[in-house]
Amino acid sequence: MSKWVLEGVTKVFDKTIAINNISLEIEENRIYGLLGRNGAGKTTLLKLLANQIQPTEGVIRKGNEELNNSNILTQEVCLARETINMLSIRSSSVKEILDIASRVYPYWDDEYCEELINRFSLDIRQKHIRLSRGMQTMVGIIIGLASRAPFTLFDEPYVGLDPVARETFYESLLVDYEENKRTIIISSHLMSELENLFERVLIIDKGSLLLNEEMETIREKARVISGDRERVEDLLKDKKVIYRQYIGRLANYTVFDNFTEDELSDFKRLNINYSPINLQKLFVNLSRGGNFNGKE
Amino acid sequence: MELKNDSTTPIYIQIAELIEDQILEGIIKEEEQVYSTNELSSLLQVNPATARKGLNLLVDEGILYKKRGVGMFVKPGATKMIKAKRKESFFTDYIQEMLLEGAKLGISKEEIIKMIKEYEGEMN
Repeated sequence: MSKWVLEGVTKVFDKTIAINNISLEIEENRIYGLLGRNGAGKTTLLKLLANQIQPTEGVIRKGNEELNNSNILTQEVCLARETINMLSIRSSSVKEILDIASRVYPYWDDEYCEELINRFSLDIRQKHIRLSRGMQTMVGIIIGLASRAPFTLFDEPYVGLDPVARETFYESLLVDYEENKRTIIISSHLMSELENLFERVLIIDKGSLLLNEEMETIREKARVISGDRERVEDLLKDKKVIYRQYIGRLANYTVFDNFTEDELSDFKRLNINYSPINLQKLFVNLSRGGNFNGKE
Repeated sequence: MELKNDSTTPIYIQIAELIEDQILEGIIKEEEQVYSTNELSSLLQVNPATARKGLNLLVDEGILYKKRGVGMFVKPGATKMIKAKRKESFFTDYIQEMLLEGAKLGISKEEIIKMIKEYEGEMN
């Protein structure tokens, strides 16, 4: 086991740039959130990490080993998605699909798989193609968890799931992660219920990496500051503003920065509102602002 | 037990405060075992690293102690310690906030004191 390193990775499909020059490191045994809008490149990035597709430019390494077509790293990496592409598999029953998965992944746990099937009340005799979307998502989740793969990637593991099933998933994931440490990446644009699960967050937009930060730091630095336009502008001139909004004389700034006690007491004195924003709001404003300098 | 995602207080501190609250309210008694990292993590749906950080904070402050291979327990005298700590922040968290809001509304200190004295509602 070893960390993943991406160096200047670009992926082009036909003439569309799906991933644009991304460099980053993914450390072992942590839970990452991969956030981005529809079409931002989340699935492409996951497929690159899973060695299912290869970069057009740049390199992806796991430890000292460079990923390319010929490596058989697939056993170590499990990419859990609700869609199963291969036609021959789609018409199989869930049981048959789980049987195949159990032979592919060396760390597969049959007993745990049974437990998850019961927990999600999934009828495994059904053909995969006949399942509702939510149930197809459950199959993906069960494969992802039961594979116990050292690198497990969940691609939007909530599509079609009701709130009860989603909570069941989060709980199962957390308990099993604590007992069987591994690297987990969850791609998502549903953030409010996931943000406390993540240790580190990657935000991508239009194929570029906008943010790569510890969740704790995000909670510490992401703020919305509002008040009289001129005062706000003056007080925040040296801060990292990521989004500016004006309503009459009122300015609403989304910032990503630290503030000293003195600065905070200035805010109080000048009637400037300083409040935290959640990951979802930060994500939305970061995607709107487009960059970290706040230039629209 | 609920966490507030819209609070400026870091999640691990919120977790520590939740446990302190339960000790103050007598839900967990001194010398009794508290939640494991695992239990906290699935109960509050937070990353186990965050849950562990919250528990360790209370160990560092001498409110909890570790029994090797068993888990974490509430130290004798923990209730007293938490009360002493909370009293210190009572002034900044409540009194100062109240005076500031009062000033905004044009309510004087004297008026506030009068309100407190005349308050006959429930106190527990």
